[in-house]
Amino acid sequence: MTQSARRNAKVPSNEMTAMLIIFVATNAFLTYPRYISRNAYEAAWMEPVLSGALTLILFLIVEFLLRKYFRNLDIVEVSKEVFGRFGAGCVALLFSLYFLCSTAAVMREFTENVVSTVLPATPLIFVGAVFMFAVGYIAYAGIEGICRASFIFLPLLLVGLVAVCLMTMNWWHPYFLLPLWGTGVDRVFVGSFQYASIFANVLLLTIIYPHVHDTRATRRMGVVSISVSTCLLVALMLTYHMVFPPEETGKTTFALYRLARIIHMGPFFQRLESIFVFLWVTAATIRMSVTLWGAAYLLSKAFNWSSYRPAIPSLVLISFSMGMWADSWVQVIDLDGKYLLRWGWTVVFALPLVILLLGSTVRAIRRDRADEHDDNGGRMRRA
Amino acid sequence: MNRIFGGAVKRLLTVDDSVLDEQFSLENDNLDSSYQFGPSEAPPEEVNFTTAENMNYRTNKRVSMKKFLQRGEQEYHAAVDKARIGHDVEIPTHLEDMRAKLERAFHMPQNKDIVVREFQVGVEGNSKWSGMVVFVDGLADKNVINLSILEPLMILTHLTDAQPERTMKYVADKMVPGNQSVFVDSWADLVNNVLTGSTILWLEHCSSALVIETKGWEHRSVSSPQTEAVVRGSHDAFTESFRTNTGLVRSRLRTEHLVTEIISVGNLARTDIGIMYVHGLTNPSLVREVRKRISEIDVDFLMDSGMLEQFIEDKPSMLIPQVMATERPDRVAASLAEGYVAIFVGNTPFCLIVPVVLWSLIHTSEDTNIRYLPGTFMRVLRMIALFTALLLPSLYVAVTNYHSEMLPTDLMLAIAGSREQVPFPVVVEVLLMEFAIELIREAGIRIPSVIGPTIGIVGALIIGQAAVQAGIVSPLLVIVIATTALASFALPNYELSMGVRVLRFAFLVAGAILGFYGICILLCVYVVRLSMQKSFGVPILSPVAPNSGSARDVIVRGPLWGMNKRPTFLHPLRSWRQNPITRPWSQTTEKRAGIGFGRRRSD
Repeated sequence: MTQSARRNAKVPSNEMTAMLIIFVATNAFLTYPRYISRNAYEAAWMEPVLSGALTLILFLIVEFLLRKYFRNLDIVEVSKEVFGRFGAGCVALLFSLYFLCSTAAVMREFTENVVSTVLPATPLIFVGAVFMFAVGYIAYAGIEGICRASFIFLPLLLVGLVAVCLMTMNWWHPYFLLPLWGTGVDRVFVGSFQYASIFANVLLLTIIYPHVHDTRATRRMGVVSISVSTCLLVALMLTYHMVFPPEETGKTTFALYRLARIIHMGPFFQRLESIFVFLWVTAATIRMSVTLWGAAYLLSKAFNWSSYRPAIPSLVLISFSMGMWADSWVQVIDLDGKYLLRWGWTVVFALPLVILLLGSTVRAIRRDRADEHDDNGGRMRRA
Repeated sequence: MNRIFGGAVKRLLTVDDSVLDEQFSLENDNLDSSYQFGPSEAPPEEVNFTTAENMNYRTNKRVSMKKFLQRGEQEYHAAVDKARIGHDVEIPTHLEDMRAKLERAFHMPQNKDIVVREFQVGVEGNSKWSGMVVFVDGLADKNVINLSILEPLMILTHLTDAQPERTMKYVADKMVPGNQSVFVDSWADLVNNVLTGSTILWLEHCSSALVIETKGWEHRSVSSPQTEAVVRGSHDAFTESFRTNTGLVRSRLRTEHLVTEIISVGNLARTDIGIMYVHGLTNPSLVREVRKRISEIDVDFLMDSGMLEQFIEDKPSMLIPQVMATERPDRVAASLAEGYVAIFVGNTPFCLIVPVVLWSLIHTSEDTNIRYLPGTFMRVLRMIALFTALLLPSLYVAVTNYHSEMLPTDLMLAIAGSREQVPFPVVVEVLLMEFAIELIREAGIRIPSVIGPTIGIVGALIIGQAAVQAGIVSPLLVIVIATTALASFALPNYELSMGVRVLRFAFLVAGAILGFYGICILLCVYVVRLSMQKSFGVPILSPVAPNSGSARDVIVRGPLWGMNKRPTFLHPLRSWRQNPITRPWSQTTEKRAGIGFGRRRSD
């Protein structure tokens, strides 16, 4: 398929919604529960709610700006209008770097999880290489393939997450959720803002907007995806905090695995953590293929490449190398928490919003000037 | 005796290449282009493909690949055109010329299949009127030729010398009572019609010949389907007759809008390809695409629908078929009524339906004939069978090798106990069993029916009992492999079943190397691959991904009175297949027919 066809590929909104839900909900398998638990203790479940609400507001603003001023344009094309080609290139590089770092961090965390839980005797590099190959292949298929696969796998994810929550019912201790505000209201709010970058819906919207089949459904797409992913995260966090005491929750790197591991519903349904491998592998593969595709797509748009596809193998290699660069898992978790999770909001929320606001201002000024010019011309003609 | 013995000893003890020379060899006969029995007989007219102009590409000068391919194409077409020397000329009007041309065209007298019967038309007078009929022995019905062509012309006809009546049109209108006859003016049409089983009636001084339909070769009569048997449904299947097959479909779908186009494919020998669709219902783009793909096939001979399938499908390297082959006329009729296109290939007992979606490969024609709840149950069962056939051995390997903790302790101990005597790793054990099953399956197809039951007994003994007793495989694995084989047989589509057979080994390797993780990664990759695959412009995972609002007909089968629309992924010209209220007399279903039960809002 040619690049023009690829760029004009239109994806139905329900498939986009599925992709966005999986993209956000995958954080349940990563270090997000650990950080918010450490930050808010008993009130950790509130943080996804607040982060989701913040994301929803920003999403609606961004959607409004795109619909009003930049129909069928993505963030790079808007940047070209605001900053020119060089500036747009820098913006694309920045976003691509963020995506690459995110891919690398998730890859390392994910493969460490795999090796420590289900494949203890397999070399880390082999597990990571297989994973990156699959991610590269899926990213190579493009946004259509990713979204279609998301739509197919979403029911599995939903059923799996709900099953994990419900099957640990015999370990629930609701009083673990008290005191209600955990470490305090201010820490909950600050943490919600700091760790809101897992909701990358806003940034993704500015990239996939030209690919949405029906732009009128974009608002619904954002509302549904943010609501469902927030509900999933909240359900998981509530369950996690009802099962384990708050001091422990901040120490675990893989909350879902710990939950799945304690499932014991009679002698036959026990130790089902291996079954959930299907769940987190599919979710992580889709999430990483989105970030990898996003990086390649932005670069191809910024530098006018005829196709993003040749960039995929090199980006796979770069992110794999970056992921393997850290000495240990602990170092990766520290780096991820310190930089990507804590400061990710600047790239995920602030920068797209600033670019769109500047772009809409520029367009509004141009429109005013054009109107003035028309008025002057009309007056002169009348005179 | 002594000489024979001596010769044998000599051959054993000495290196004598002349032994080979005693046997016939083709190697030295490259320059011999004559098919005559002896060197004294004159060689027939032949086409020389190695002429000077065809050989001039043998040069050391380097050319670009594009130019090289262009040149090759030109040379090929030139050679093919040469092979058709004289095809486009007119039909001779004199008996001697006609006879000579026939002999040259059909390589007579060596070729004994072609029958040329010369005769005199009954004329009361002195002026003779000679003619001949030409047909292929074995293809044409001799009774029809004798009774409907030769007898009327030779015995029953009493023409006078009057010249105006000596025209082919007069003969066709008044004298030959064939039910289908048509005039041909070119030599190529004459040859083609002879080869399709028709009889050519030629009369001297006429510039055209009359083609009379006399097809009557032996073929299998309509019988029950071999690979798509059902309990509730019709029991007839396609046979090795093109016209019988189209007739079987037309007898079910009796509409004047059902169109059958025929395209001939093949340079050496022509094969008729029938494209059947419902005019005004099927998407014209789809019909054009099918026509285009078929007409662009440039081969010498296309024998079977399986060959055509590989020429026209989007990605032949995929293991999942992108064309559905069926031997059931009712299925073809139902598909045509939905907006699909059916393709008949010559005299093959399989019809191709395009496009295809993955879900339709696990459907059977029986699903519609039974009520919707059992129908859904059967489809769910087949879906489980698909995943079982694909994944069960690999899951067994993954669980026993990597994830044994997920098994209940008793079961784990039972498996460990059963594997205690087995000397191989699990994956080798599984591969051995899979190999045995595949052998039995392959042998079962080719073994003569007389000793057919034996193979089952031998296979069951080898796999079920002897292998376990010998300690080569564990009893649990026998159950796993048997269940996999059963699941594989439960898949209604043969091509899909073949694809799953091969894919199973890929998943087995993934499971053996990386456990659930490997299986899951491969599954993800393959799902994405499938989601990007199209069959004649339709994504193969439609209507699930991309999701389109079709009637419920994927895994769940909705009630017939609620499935009001045709599949939207086909983009038919008429999307409604029935009135939304089809049971107005029913209190329960009438209310629901428009909005709810068994249908979506888009229905």
